[in-house]
Amino acid sequence: MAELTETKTGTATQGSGRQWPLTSLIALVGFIFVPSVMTITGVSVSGGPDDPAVPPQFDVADSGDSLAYTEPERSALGQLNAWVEDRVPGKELAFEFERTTTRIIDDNYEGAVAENEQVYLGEDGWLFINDAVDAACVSAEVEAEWTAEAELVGELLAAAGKRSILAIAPDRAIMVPELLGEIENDCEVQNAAVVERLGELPHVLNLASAVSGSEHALQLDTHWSPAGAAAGMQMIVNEIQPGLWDNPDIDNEVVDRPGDLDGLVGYENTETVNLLSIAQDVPTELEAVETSLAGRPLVKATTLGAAAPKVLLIHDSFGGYFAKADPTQYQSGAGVHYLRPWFESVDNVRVAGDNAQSIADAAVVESIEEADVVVFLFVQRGLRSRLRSGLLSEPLAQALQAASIEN
Amino acid sequence: MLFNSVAFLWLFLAVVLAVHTPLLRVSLTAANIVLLLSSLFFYWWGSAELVLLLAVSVIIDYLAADLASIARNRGKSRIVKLCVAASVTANIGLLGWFKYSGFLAEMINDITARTGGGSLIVPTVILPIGISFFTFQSMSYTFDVAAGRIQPIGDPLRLLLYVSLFPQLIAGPIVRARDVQAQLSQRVVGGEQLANGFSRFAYGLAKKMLVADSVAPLVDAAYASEPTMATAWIAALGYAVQIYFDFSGYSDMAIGLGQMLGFTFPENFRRPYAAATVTDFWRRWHMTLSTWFRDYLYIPLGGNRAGRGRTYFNLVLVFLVTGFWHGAAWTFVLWGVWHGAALLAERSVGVSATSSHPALRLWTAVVVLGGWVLFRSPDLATAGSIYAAAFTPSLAVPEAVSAAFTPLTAAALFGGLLMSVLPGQFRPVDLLTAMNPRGLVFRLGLFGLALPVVAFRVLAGVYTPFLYFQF
Repeated sequence: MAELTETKTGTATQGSGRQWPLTSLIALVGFIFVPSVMTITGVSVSGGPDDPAVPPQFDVADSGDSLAYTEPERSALGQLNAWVEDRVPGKELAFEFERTTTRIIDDNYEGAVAENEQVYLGEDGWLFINDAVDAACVSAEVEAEWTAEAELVGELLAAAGKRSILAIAPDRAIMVPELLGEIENDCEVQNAAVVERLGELPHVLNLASAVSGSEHALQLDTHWSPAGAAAGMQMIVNEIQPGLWDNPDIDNEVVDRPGDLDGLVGYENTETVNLLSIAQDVPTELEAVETSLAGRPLVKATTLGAAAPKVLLIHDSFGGYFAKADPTQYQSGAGVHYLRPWFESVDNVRVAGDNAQSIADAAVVESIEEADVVVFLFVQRGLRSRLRSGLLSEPLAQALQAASIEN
Repeated sequence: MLFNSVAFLWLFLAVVLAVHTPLLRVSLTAANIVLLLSSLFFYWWGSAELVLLLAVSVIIDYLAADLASIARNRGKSRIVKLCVAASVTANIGLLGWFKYSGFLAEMINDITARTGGGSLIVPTVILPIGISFFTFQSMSYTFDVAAGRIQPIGDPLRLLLYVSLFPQLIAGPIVRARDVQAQLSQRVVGGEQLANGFSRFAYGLAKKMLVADSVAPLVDAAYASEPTMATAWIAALGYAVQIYFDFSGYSDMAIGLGQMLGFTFPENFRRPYAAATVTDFWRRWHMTLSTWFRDYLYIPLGGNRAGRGRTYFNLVLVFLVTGFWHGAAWTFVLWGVWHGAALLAERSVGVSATSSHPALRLWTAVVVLGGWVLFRSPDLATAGSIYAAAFTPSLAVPEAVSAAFTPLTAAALFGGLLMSVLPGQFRPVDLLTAMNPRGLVFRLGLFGLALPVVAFRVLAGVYTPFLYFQF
């Protein structure tokens, strides 16, 4: 007897002309042919990003930390498969359904994290990213290379008459070791010692002393909390001009915020964040200039009446949230948010995840030319793609050369 | 192309059904050509130029079977045997090269390393998907023609269509030419075939995506963790559920697809975990493979008619080959021998397929579960450590396993076990059918609850390949 024979699917309709179930035929049409027609004709019921039926997706790909959402890639589809999947209606809705049901039946992160290679679960639901806690230990040779590159960057700018500050933010696991649980991060700790030694260079600023503890980090996200960002940027502001930011006047706003690590494991939880902002008498004017990196413009911030030095901040994602086309969409918590009110001119630009070649772009060259102080803001786990020989100094040298030629 | 992928469900299948169904009413030849091209495209999608292998296997068997038929009609039994030998040599040669050459080279290297000899280069060969299935189908055609059980199909394209029919091409059921020969020449597809076929297909899809795929993370975690008593039992029970719902789900889908195209494929499973003896288990599990080996190996070897000793030898040999058919690894070989030995033990004490006793059910469960540990383990050492841990009292549960033991995996595991083991009158599927003989409640549950969840999971890309694709 069959596993599910026709008698079990119930095909017999005694006394009628039809001997098969109409519901099955309707299901066939509804499950196979309707989605097929919608797929082939490209009709989508999922809506676009502004469709209120689709909850907003936290775009982790925008963080520049190699955290791009990889669901399509994970399924290892060929180009034809990808083409079909791109056109299929309801896809976003399905992802949301899958995440929601997963969240309902698995109300902690354990199950999701077990299947995810990028995210670790620490204590109290804190999530950690693997490229930090699994980072390789920096050898003496690599440390020497980093030191030489940092020195070269300082020398290049000094030769051009610019002051330089290379600020290095600690990894989150370094900030909250008590929340790691059983996650091992021996190399990360060892690499933090390398950052300490780099901090002995006159223009290198190790932010670890200012940014530390769970109040300075987010639970579900790789970035600083607003309090952490404020603490780090206060240290930078006072490094540029000591005493300028001794008595911060800060406003509070409590918001619920999604986390990038949370999104990586398929959840859309939020954590409550105390959003800080610096009270200003005169608002900051913002202007965006495109660079060669799409979506990462150079943003010029002008606050009339603020202190004199013109500052250029070159950062990875810890420095600024999103370099969106509309700079008024900046969110608090970012380094630039706490830097720009203090100085009359603060230009900031975010470099790519794996190279800093956009520093040689014409727009950035112009800012370098005008700047009195050039601040680099990088995170410890990103140094391997920042301070290897030439990765920073070469585009910087090109930019300085371009600036001098124009002069 | 996976049956549970967007590309298959909402592009390939929809187009094939939309073209084949009306075309069949107009021209059988045209419908067969469409089906043949579709099947070759289906195989090409996942295997590219390896589709030529399929054609090679079919051409060889087309020629061998035709020649064998002519020779048989002329009473030239020696030529008939030569034709059969040619088919076996060619097909087993293909299988040997693509599936077993690396394993054999490594085995020879192990032996020569111990004796101080040189080593062979281990060939890197891509295993064509479904080669074990289509070579066996192709061979069975020659065997049946040579034995006079069927007449030659005549048209080589029709033979190619039989072997390459996409519903059963990748992972069975192993369809014999005699099962579908008549339908290649005349078949009907109407509302009945489409409706019933889709019911069966949807049921298989739900078994695969709602049970097998939900248990899979737990099983993977159990096999990847340090074995403890808990992980060992989860590994054994979890994989038993996973492989049954995965493989029988695929078979349901294949049978359902066949129905939608006008073909009746043989059943492949008959509630195997309800078997009371190991002998009975093999009459319920992967039935098309076990009957293939019974008809084309066990019986030609003499079956049980050549004395007790020869019968035992035949049994163990058949199961050794069955294990080897599944893969080029010692775990599969031992799995086959394990089952062969169990059957031999049952036969030697007079236990048959119809015997029934609680102790026999326990014995069958031990044999089957123990066998699955061998089958799933990457090597014999892993299997050994799981066996040892299963009987070493411990309350430890590795973190990865406890993390994977979510409400979803637990529900799939225990629900799947219950559905597999419960006697028929207590199974939810059967209860629903008994309460509602027309099956409306069952269909509403399947189409109204299970299919929408399946659709969401397909769209969200959470599907996994079928386990039997590797064979």
